[in-house]
Amino acid sequence: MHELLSAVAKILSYPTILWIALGEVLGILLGALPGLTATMGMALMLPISFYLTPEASIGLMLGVYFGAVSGASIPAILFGIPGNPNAIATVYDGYAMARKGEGGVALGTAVVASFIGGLGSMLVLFFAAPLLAAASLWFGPAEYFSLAVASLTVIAATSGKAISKGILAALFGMMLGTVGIDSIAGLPRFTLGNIYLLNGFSLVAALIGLFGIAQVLEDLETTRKGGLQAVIPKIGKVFPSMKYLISRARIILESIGIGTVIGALPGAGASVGVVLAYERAREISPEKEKFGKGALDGVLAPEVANNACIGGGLIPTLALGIPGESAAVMLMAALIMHGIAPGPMLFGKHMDLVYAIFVAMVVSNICMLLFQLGGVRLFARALMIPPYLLSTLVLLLSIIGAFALESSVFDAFAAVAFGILGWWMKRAGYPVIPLVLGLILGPMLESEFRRAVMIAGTYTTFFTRPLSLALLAGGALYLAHQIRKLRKEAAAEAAASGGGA
Amino acid sequence: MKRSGLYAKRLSVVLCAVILAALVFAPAAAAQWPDGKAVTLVVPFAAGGGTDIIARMLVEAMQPYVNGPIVIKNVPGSGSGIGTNEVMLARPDGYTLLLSGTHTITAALQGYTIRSLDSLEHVASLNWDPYVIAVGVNQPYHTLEELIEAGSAVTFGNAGAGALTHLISEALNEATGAGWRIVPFNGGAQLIANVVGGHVVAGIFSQSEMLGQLTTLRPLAVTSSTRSPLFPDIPTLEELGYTGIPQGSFRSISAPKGLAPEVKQAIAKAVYSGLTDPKFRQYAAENGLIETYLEGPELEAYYAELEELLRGLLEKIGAL
Repeated sequence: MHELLSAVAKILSYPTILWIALGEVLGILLGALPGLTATMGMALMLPISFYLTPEASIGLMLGVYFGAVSGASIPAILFGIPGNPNAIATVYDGYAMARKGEGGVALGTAVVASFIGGLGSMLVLFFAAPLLAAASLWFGPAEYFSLAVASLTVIAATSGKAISKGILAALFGMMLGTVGIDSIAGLPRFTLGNIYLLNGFSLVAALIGLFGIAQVLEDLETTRKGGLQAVIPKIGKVFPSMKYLISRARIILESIGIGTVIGALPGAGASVGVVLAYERAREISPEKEKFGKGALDGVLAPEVANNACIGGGLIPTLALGIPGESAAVMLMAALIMHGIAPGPMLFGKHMDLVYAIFVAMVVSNICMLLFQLGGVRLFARALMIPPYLLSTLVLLLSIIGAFALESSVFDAFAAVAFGILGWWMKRAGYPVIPLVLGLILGPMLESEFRRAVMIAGTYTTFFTRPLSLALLAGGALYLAHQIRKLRKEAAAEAAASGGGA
Repeated sequence: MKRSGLYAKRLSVVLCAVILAALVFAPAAAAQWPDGKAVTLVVPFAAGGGTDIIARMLVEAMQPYVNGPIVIKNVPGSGSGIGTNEVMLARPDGYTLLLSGTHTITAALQGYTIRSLDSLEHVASLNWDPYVIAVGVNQPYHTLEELIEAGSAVTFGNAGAGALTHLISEALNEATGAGWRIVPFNGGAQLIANVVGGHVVAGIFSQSEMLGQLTTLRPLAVTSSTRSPLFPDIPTLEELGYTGIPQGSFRSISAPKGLAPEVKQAIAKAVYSGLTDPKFRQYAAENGLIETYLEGPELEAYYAELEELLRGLLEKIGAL
């Protein structure tokens, strides 16, 4: 208790809290600009953090991290481009709401959801970090393979009526994921001798293309047909009511759970977590028929989940010294620079610092809420820009963003190619998200499969390891359930139209 | 009138003196590196990794000895190939430098760079960063000999296919005749999780990774030829009788080929000043870096030797 109070005092002291606020502002800006990521901002702050106290440097880093993850929802909602991979699921309903003139309340809900998700996962981290960290070690190559299979199954199966198209898109994404240096043999594949393809396609360039540029192309088509109208947003109400939040308690809690668990598994990534949370919300939401057309629940769930992923990701980072993603690597680097090695000994030896991290999480979440609250009305005004100007702006930002990530002209071209692909897929009725997740999960699926077989020496390892078997069975059951549901719906529809005729 | 004439005369005298002085000092200024212009040090890895932190600490220590800012530019990708390319294609004026080392050799040999290693000039070396061979604490092996005897029952993880840790694992497997099953992982973090979780038996770790896992991993040997100051009780591979294995990760500063000799010397001097700065030395000691300063023909010969060793190992694992 004494340690907790002294941590509160340290974090709330004058320069420290200023650094957190500064990090938060920087993070929100980076998150809001497609192509600029939390990792990039944290790398920039790394040399500065060396001169700060350990508490202030952790606060600064966490500020950038939380800010960027919540800031990414701004372009996702306003322009349909996720600011970074954490916001891919927010695009569906957030952007649909903006198009209907409800962008203000979508933005406000995203902010409140981020706040709830951040605090919720902080509580989980506080009470269950060592326990969850130990559980994450049960996952070996066989389990990660089965997790990837189960995730892809869930995602493909929920692609609405076009299950086959969803599976096809996921497979195509996995195919694109094979480009680059093979992670087991170390040899380049399908790179056509181009050194810029050795690392495979950049995920950020793919996102910018598939969402941003594809949207611009689609708008262009609509405009030519004379259809695109500027929406006059009603910015009036930006905050979801308390009544609404309480009525969605189940979605919020489940999203926190999904986000924290997926975040705690190194390598799975927030983009998988948000899609799973979105799909889960679609199942249990009272307004499930509105999903994809502008359901507030469709913004709430992924935004709770992506901030919950941060807390989840900190579990293996702090308790095991195993960072789950690149932003967590930065956080670890900041600690190492101060002579503190995260790992199993952190919770015993540096308990004061662990408490400081918890307090910094709370403070940076509060900062995020305050700054975003101030900004929401301002951001929503971007919707008043006439469509022809807005499309030009989005195209420009997309290409600059794709270039900026690694100062790579190749990535800018790749984004344009992905844009054309995304535009065509949408016209032909193929969902885009399974493709993105195929791109992310494909390489994981393949390399973990090969690793598991190398270790066990047999292909049966996926079925003889209980956790792996459970994950595979879960995926299969979900697929069967989804197909049965669709059949029933189709039968009901046929009966209804039959009765009408 | 007369007064102003006098002033004009004085002014012209002063100007003459200034111009003369400028002429006298001009050659010296031209040879000076840098003349206030920013120097870019390309780090071919993402920010926050082991090599990046060393680069940042070195730049910090070098800065007082250099007349102009040194800026770190992270250009990650293709096992350091993309960043190396950028330097290979830059002008050899001393304003674009590369944080090079064993990673540069493996990237160039595997064809991840457009040009060959010959397009680089090595200016000064920094240090060796040895690796630690360790098993999970729950494993029954307490010495390297016991691990070797266990043979093919042992799964041995490394941080990436074709990476230095992979080459060292294969070299060790060959030198000891152990017959371990070598499993490449996707980075150090994933490797730690799998060894600590008991999914593989043993692995090869950086010293900073090892320091964070003292209660979960048991170190058996270090790869350097001298004992690491961080693990003074852990024997080296050389002590145990195994040779022909890279000592760890070697790091140096390189530039595009064709540097003016005096510029090359000035850079080497600045690197030396930074490397031997008490603050950097303290940092190096705390992180187990073994200072290895070489320059000129000595360094080029050292590089040639390393290239030969790594080429042989890459051929052995089938990556060439």
